[in-house]
Amino acid sequence: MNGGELLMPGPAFYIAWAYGFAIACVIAEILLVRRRKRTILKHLSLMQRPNIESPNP
Amino acid sequence: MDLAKAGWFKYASPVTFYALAGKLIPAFSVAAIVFSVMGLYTGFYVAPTDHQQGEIYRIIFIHVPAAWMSMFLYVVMAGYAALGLILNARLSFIMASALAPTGAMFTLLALVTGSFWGKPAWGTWWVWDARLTSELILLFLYMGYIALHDAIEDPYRADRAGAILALVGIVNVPIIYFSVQWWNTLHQGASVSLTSSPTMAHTMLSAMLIMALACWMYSIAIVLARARSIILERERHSQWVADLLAGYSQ
Repeated sequence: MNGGELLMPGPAFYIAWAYGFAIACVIAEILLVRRRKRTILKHLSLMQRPNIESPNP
Repeated sequence: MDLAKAGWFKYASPVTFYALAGKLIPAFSVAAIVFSVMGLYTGFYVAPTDHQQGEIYRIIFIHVPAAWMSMFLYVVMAGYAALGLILNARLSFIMASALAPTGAMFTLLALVTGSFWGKPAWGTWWVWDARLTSELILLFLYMGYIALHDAIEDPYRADRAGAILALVGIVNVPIIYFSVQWWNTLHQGASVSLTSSPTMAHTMLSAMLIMALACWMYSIAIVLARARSIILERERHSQWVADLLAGYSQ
């Protein structure tokens, strides 16, 4: 066994990174979709409000 | 069969689809969670260690379903794009644009998890191999579609321009699938195919198929959720959206 092989991480390292990345991607996508929905609902609820004219200075 | 008689056109209406999607999302989300737990348990606790690759092969349970989904979602996206162009159906274009980010996510996932498998198995993170390069092109096609669609302000024109790009890019899907047969690649050949028996242990195959089902259920749930947001954005001036918001605020 040479020095390079000693420094190579084990399979658990690569498996953990692969599955960790997958979970991060899924969570990020869910959060982005939820944020998009919240933003559009907020925008639409603002649109629904009656216009209140500002008083003249 | 007469499509109008069968009532299919009813589901092409954004109003009907919005309500239907809202009912379907929880069911598909639960199915995705259940299949993920089952698939990961089978993959990590039931499937045996591979006699050649050892434990590292267990990346297969996320890598292969992600790669399948990346290609499948592109075909579905192009199908919706074609339907949109032929039938001039708004919902088809909405579905195509809702599918693109999820397809891009699965393509990125397939590439990254493949790198994490490639490093210990091949000794390198990346090679300009036909399979890897064509999958990278698929990612660029998804990103190109999203960028083109977002760059055009008028949704009518954006939908059509994106649909043409999606249809042109579909030529890449058979190239990805057959690349391991057409060229001499570092990437291994297909372990599962429709025409021959699988070359892996039964439990490994089961875990992979259950994870593919989980990815499928997740894709349906997240695409329906995104499609609902797009429908709200596009239909914001219509009366049914105003009624819907009035219902929310009560």
